Amino acid sequence: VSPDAVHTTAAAEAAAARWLARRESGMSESDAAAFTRWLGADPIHAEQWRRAEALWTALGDALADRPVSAPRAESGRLISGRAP
Amino acid sequence: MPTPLSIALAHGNAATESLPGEPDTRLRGYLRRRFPRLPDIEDLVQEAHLRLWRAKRAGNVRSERGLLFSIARHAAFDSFRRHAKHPTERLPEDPDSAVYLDDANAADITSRQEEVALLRQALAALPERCREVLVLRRIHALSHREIAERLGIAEHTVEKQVGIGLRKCLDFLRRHGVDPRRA
Repeated sequence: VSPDAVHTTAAAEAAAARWLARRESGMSESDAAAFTRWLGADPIHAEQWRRAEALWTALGDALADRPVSAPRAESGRLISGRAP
Repeated sequence: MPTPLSIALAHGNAATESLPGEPDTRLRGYLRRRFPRLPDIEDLVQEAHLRLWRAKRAGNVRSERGLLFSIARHAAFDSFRRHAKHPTERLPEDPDSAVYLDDANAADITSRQEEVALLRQALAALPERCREVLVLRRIHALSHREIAERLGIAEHTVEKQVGIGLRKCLDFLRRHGVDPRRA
């Protein structure tokens, strides 16, 4: 892995994080257009976006165990003691 | 015969590192118990060492041994995925057959639990305000405006904090050789 490749990945990762934060804010039409351009500009962008979205899902489980909120199996992915 | 690991080490200035022997025995036993149907345990052990070595090269690794086991579980999961994608003659004609989905799901859940455990470490390292914003958004589902009002900060600061938190978590996972899986 060359330093350049690491740099490119880290930059795309940071951009994906910013786009996800923007999505959570609510995107304007011009935001959405810019996002679509960014997403299609490089396969690395799409890959990092996929990671960011997966992270967002996982954060639900990772954060839910804190005392700030009652634990719940939000995504339904983890095995729970649900009655049959 | 050179293994992928020995090749990687020889090319990576890491040849002076001593490789733990005894933990590998435990790791093999662990993988056999955990994934009884997995055929290529040795490949997996090698793969796990390779990924650990990459993670170490990329950044800070605190608990090398714990991470090795964690990485091996992820590698097991990847292996299940590969088998599902490229079925051999031993596989039924349908790569999505129930047998393989069961294995993949079991590994998926394990993988997810490991990911969540690692993620908690990443979250613990975040500044308090940053973590607070993520909790209010992700768990309490407050809008950025509501979060801004509650914390007495600007809306664009909320978005910025969410972005910073996500970036640090992604960076942390990458340095630990873990890829967040699709939902």
